[in-house]
Amino acid sequence: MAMVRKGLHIKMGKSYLQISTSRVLLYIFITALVCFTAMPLIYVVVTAFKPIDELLKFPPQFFVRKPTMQNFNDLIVAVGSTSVPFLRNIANSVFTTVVTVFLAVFVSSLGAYSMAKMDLPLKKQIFSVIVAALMFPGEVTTIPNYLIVDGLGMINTYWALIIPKVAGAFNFFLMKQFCEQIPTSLLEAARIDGATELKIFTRIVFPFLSPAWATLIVFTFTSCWNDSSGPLIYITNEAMRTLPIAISSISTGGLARQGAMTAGTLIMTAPTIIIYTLMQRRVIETMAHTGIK
Amino acid sequence: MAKKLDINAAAPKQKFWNLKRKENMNGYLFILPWLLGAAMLFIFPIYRSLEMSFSNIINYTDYTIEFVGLTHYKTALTGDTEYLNSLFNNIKNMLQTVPFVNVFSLLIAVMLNRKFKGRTLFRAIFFLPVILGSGFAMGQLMNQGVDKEAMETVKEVLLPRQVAIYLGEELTNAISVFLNLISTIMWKCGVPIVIYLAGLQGVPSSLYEAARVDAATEWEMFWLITLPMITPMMLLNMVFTVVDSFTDSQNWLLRLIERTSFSGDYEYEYAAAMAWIFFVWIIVLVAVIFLVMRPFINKVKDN
Repeated sequence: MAMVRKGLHIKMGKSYLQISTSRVLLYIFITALVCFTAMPLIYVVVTAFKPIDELLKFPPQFFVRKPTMQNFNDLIVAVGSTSVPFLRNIANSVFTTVVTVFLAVFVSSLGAYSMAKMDLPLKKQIFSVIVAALMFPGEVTTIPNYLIVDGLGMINTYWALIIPKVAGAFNFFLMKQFCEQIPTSLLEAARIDGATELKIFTRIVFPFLSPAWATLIVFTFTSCWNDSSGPLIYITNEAMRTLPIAISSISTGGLARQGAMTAGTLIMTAPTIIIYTLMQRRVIETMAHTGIK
Repeated sequence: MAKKLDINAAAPKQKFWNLKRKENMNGYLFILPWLLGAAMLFIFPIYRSLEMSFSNIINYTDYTIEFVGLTHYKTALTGDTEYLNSLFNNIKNMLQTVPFVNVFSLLIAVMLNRKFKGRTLFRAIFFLPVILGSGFAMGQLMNQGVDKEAMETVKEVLLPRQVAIYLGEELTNAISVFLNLISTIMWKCGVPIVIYLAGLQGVPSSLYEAARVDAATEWEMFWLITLPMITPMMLLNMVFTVVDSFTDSQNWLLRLIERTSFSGDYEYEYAAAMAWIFFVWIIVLVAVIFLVMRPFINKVKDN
């Protein structure tokens, strides 16, 4: 670079590594902010390895002094004493979450495509209802929701955990914004070649939307995996309980179960983090794209 | 588009299933599954809660209702001090956090928009709270006050007691209030940062080049180019943060609403009225934001 910058110059072999003062400040500042953001997560991980005396210490310490696997053993003991095997809870959670994610992605991309690319009468009205519904918190409609799920005869079935989550307003909004970017000429070309609408959808639209799926998968997965209110309301059969319910019942065991609880929390959080890490780049891109338009 | 052609004008007789109708049919078929689900489990319950807020439930087995007019609204707005207090606290909180969240996320977005090593990693971390924030595990931790514990220990690291003694009590308190505020705000910045980033990347680089030729400083460029160019994102973010703070499950008011409907007297009708008052206030706030921001946004378009 011809321009001479102020700051630090470090000699590395033949070339000089230039570090300008502003860049150093940038790193310091951004690292500090990242610390604040990532702190609770680090705390979850660290706490799961703390022995019981460190867990109950006051004032609490951030880092673990004598890491131990005791909490995980406690967790196994705690879940071993329940009437329903813990593996069944995990299977319940995995099954409902996977089915919900699959249906949500399919149903919302199908609907969003027709909303974005076909001119339906009443399309504007439908869309504005969706946007208004985005502002309404779900907690408020619990009772009417229960009445409908009950009316459909889905109480104590897995459907009660799946169906209410499939048609979310957020999913639809995100997909619709993303569908707007599909070039119309591509669809027209397919139409001229005699492709049916269903074929256009499966061959062109669905693959085009793949970054948006990634985002939907992450969000739907997180909300299903962590949902603790749905199973409490719709499910009374103990064998059908999902993971969050099983883990929160551990914490009712009192102080002695504190360790098992921290290990359970870590295990609950891990799949979410893994899914996010796998899809993170696409999630952020999609959020950015749908933000502009 | 093929369907825009007026085929019917040329044909002497109109069939019922003309091309236009057939295409509409296809579109509706596609949207039907979603619409059915949304109408039944999303739109209809919202309508039911509005209906119930004007009524009393007389039978709790099949939820038959009796219309009582504005009674619940009157009670909430005149008699219930707990509700009014949490409503005002919520409004106060919202008015405090919305500007802070916007300033912080713009600042972070500007930094993340520069090219430097590890940028992708930093972006991912800043977005992490969006994924975790709604999480069950996080909710458990917050309930146990673990986030406060974590904050205390962070404070110990950043501001050791030995230093705190030198600074004096008032200054230490001010700093700890500030640190608490940052952590609360950082957890709400995930989506706004991404939206601002998208906005920043949409600003044409020719504008900056022209400004550089005219010997503008970075500071001037920020105020005269960047900021006016991203006002649409600002509007979007303001609305987003307002709505987000409303639907946030850590929200005090939502807790109160939940408690009213599911414990004690099971006054669901009253809780529904509480929720609708809050909902109307949010809509008004969003409308005000739109009205205030509109002149600025139009100005950019004219230029």
